[in-house]
Amino acid sequence: MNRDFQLIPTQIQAIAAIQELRDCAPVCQQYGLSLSENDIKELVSARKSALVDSGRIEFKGGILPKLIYAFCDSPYVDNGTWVETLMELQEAFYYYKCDAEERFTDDELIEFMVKVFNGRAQGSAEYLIGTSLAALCRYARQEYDEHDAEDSGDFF
Amino acid sequence: MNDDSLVSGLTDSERQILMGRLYDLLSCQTTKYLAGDSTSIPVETAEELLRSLVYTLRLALSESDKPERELLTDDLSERLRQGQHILQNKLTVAHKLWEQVCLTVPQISNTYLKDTLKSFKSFFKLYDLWYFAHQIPCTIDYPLCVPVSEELKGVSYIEQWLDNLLIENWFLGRFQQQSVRRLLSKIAVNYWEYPLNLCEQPLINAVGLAILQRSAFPLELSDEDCREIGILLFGCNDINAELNRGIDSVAAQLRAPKEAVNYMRTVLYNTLPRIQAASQSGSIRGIFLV
Repeated sequence: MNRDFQLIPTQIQAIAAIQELRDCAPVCQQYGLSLSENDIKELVSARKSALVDSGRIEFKGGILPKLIYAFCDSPYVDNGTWVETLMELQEAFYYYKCDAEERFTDDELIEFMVKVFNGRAQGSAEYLIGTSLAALCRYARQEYDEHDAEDSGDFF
Repeated sequence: MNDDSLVSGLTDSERQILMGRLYDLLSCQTTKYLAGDSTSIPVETAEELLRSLVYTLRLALSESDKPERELLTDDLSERLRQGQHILQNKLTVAHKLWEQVCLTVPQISNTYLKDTLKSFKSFFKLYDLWYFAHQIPCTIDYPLCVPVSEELKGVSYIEQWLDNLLIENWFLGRFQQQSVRRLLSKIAVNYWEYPLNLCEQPLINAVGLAILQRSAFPLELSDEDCREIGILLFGCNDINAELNRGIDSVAAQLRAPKEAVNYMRTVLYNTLPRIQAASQSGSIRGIFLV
């Protein structure tokens, strides 16, 4: 690559990401969730690591605002674990994005994640991360019945 | 300027400015490329987008005869648009060249030439001047007499490649195809199955005949002819000058245009080290084919 140019996130980019997250605070508050300045900084820093780990780059703010809007109304999130959950969801998102080889748009992947998170995973981000992309797509497309013991066999 | 440095002779602060400007342009370009489907992109794809930008900007600057330092102050989006317009024109020219090359291709079979010309069809179908202008989405297996510099990218490379092949086609078209086929079969009986340039050997033999002050058209040399060429070349003070005299004679016999003459000179100049090495052994038979 060109010596004059390196694809590393710039300071401006980090500032933009912080501002985007600040703008999400009112929506979070509607669901009793909060994001402190420290939380925001932590999330922005986690985003940088998640991008590096998945070999991706973002030029604008990032995926967190979309994740916040998609997951803030989940019955499985609460203020105590909100930031931690967001970090895990962000990591899972970039993992899927990488695995999907650009076959799904951000919105499609987030839709799948929300369906599985609120369904089969019952709010467990850990379960979501442990699910392969193929399984994620399959789970998202089929209806999930939590009372069906056979269907929930791999979860318990 | 080399591949590692976008613009040579920049100070650190100028480099920072350029980096910031290119970063903004890449950000816009990535947003267009992703078309709202994604916020992120694999680093490899971003690097390819950047290579494409750099190639297009450099092309625009060189066509306008502007120094590359202009990138520090220029409106880069405007310069990019200008570059893309140039690329569109180049693509049209390259397509016409390809048609011309196909129409003038010699009646001498070669699998590699045939496959390469077929592959250009996919180039014109797949070439993406907006996002991956530096790429060459086709397979080029046929070796030219004068290879195109690897520094040329995208459609610039293809244009030059087809230009060179058109000259080679023109040259081969001047000779009886039967004579060319006979000569090539001396290199390999089934020469059409090898990645073998069809033009180089006929050109060398034609120059050999011209050095002997004979007609270049038969392309045939005897052992005695080769010995005589060896004596003339190794006995003279300047082999290159002697070869050039041969080329001038071939050019006159073929009524070659200027660009074809220059091309022939380059081919023979590239053969010079082989001739010099042959002078050590005293035999030129491996170069001028009997």
